[in-house]
Amino acid sequence: METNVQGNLTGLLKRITGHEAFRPGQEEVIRSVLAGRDTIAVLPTGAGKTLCYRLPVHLTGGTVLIVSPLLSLMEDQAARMKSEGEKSVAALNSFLTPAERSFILQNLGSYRYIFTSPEMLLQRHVSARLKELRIAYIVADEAHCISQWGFDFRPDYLRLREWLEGLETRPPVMALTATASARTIEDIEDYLMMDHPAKLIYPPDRPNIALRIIRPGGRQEKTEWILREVPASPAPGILYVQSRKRAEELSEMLRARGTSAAAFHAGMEKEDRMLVQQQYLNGELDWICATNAFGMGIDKPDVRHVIHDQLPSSAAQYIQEIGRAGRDGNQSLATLLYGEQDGETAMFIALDSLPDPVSIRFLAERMREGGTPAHAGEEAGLSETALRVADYWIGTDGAEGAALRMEALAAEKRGEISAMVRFAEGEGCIRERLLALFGARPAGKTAQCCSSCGLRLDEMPAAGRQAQRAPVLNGWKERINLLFNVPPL
Amino acid sequence: MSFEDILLTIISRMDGERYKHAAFHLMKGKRSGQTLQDTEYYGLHPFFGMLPSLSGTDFDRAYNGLLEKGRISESPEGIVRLTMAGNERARALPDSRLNGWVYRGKEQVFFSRLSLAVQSLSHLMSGIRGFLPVTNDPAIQQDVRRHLLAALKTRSPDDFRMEMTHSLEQSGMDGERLSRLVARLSGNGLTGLTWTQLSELSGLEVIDLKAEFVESLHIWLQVIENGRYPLLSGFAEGLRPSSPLTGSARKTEELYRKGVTLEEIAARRGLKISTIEDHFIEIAINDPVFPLGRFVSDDCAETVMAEMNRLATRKLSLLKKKFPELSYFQLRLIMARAGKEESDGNERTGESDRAAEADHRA
Repeated sequence: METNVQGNLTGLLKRITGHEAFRPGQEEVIRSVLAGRDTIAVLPTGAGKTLCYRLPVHLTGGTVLIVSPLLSLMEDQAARMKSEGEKSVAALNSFLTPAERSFILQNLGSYRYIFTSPEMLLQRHVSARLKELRIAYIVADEAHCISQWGFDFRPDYLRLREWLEGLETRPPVMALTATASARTIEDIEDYLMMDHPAKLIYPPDRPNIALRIIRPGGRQEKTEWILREVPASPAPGILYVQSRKRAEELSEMLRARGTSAAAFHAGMEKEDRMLVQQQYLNGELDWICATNAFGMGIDKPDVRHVIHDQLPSSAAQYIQEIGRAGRDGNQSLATLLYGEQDGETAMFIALDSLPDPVSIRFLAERMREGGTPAHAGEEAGLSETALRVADYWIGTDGAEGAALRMEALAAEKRGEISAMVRFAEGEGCIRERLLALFGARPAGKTAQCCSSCGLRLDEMPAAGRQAQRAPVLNGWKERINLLFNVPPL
Repeated sequence: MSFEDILLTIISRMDGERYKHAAFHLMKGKRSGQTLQDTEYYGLHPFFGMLPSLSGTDFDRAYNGLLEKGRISESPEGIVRLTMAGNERARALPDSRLNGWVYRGKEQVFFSRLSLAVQSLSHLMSGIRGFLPVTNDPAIQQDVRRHLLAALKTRSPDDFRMEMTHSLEQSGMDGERLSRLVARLSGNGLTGLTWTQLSELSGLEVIDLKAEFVESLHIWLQVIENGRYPLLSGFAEGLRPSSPLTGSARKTEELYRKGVTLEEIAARRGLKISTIEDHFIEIAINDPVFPLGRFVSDDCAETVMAEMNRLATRKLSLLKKKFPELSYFQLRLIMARAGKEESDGNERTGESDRAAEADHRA
């Protein structure tokens, strides 16, 4: 019967999504889960990870529990699944009002997909209700966040382990990520208590994204390059910058030159962030000048160009960010602007987000005296991320253990940034050198490989494209009529 | 009216008696005894909580603008005064139509619901079923879903459009202002504008646009609530807070209604006496029949009120000099009561919301 079921996978794919064929890796992951195995899947960005957990439940029946480390990501994914026609989707998280939450909990058995956060799992009545369900499999999304070695470590994610420990019979666990070092994979296997998992690891190569490194020197030269090149370069695009201020400045200068661009960063109000995101998805905007707050959970298939105004602090982060280009499989471009000071800047910022041993001890002392972590963190001048990390490790390892751990982490980060500096400054095929950082090699030679191998920018699609419908200020009645699809008189 | 002119209006009411930050806290809607008292004494209800997320930077820019233009001045102790020029300008300004005390930032809930409804109807009318909603807030989504499902049984999407058009026409706002208001709405293929985009297209500053937006919503809500707009009324449900008190003040009030003394409340709740005193001021401001007599004799209160009127002042330090035998707390209670009686006489019996509206029309 199993063969029969599995043989029909393509048919199921067609029925549920309308697609004719799987993308590389998807079918292997789905088969592994259907065979009841714990599975770690490292699939390149844009490979269609959602499908890997969306499809099998149509054969197994029951409920899929998807644990996601980022609330906003969870909301986006749930919204997108609904908009694609999966109606029985619930997002169980701390944003819910008490009424909505009890509604979801009462009807828990009627959902096919339940998105939730690690914190929610530890609430006793939520956990109890979940345990009554027939869970087909558990998905750990963005699983690299569970590893302290990952670039986006979320200590709360480790609570998933506590919950798994409390299950009498554990359904298969599927861990999904786009980038994971050997060390991160070890952590995932360990923290999720996996039993001889299938490891389906695909090189993070994206042959349709051409790679380019430009060395404009200092910041001023970078600005000049951006203002000169962006208006004529492939679009839609994302320009990743280091700071909110830089995002605002560059977007304003680009607009002044007639390019439709907007800033996106965590300092904007929620409503405006949402509007920018929707304009971009709808093709009303060509460029987003964003801090790394932009990207996770945003699925725009036709991003043609990703530019980095500064050196990302790890190869994994770089791969994740450029991976937002070309999800439709069409030719796209990734440009890294590298200046000689960038390594130092990246080092400073990365280490700033890590609590140093002195602050750890200070924090532990204050908390022993009964202070709140938030207040003590402020006194020690720690960033929010740093505080999150410090608080967690003090709790599990004590002050000295946590301090040692931070030293090891700092060394690791320095190593990652040095590797990125060597990558940016090195010679030879950029793709080969980038993949080498993950112990992989390009599968074959592509026509548009990288700026070292030679790029033909004039053959890139969508260069200098203008947004179809730039934002305008209509007359009020006209706008209301447009919104309600009433034809003009 | 620009944000700067709104600030000038506020300062003109507190002229020479308050520090710079009084206006800031007022606009943000700070629930402290002091700010609530200021709101009451100076009749500043329209502006209370008008911009809960106002930043210090935006406030300072407007404040410094007024200083530079010579419309206000600061005494060495930091007391803010209107200059002659400022006074002249303040008197020439139109009345604000803000209604902050009543809505307290909840107008944004109305707009979020309306936005999601318009976006849903827009896609519905274009025959598109799936779309990414403009808000992820599950409470808003549920409100809108429930209201739309019920309404569309008997009414058409176009009825929503008609109600919007008619109510906005009835609001008396001019066309340009209305176009800035509806520019924030999204639909199929037509996404709302961000503040930055609206600023660049209209030539107005972002902070002025935000202040105008809040006022426009207050005006619109008033029209919807007073008129026959059943479809739009559905989005305005539950905006007015059921109790004007803060959570903590409400707990104090419960204990006080059970007859627990002020000191005992402080002890039971593990809070400072001064905090509980702030709560009592807040209760006195909101409760027209608050028994002042438990804390200060009626005679005494009358004397103080008469003196306040004679000196035309609301300055605590001045009154303390005149009545050294009274505590600050007693004086503040009397001032809280005075604010009430002055703004709406003795006939008040209930709901402070209605009173606030009356104030602001007057």
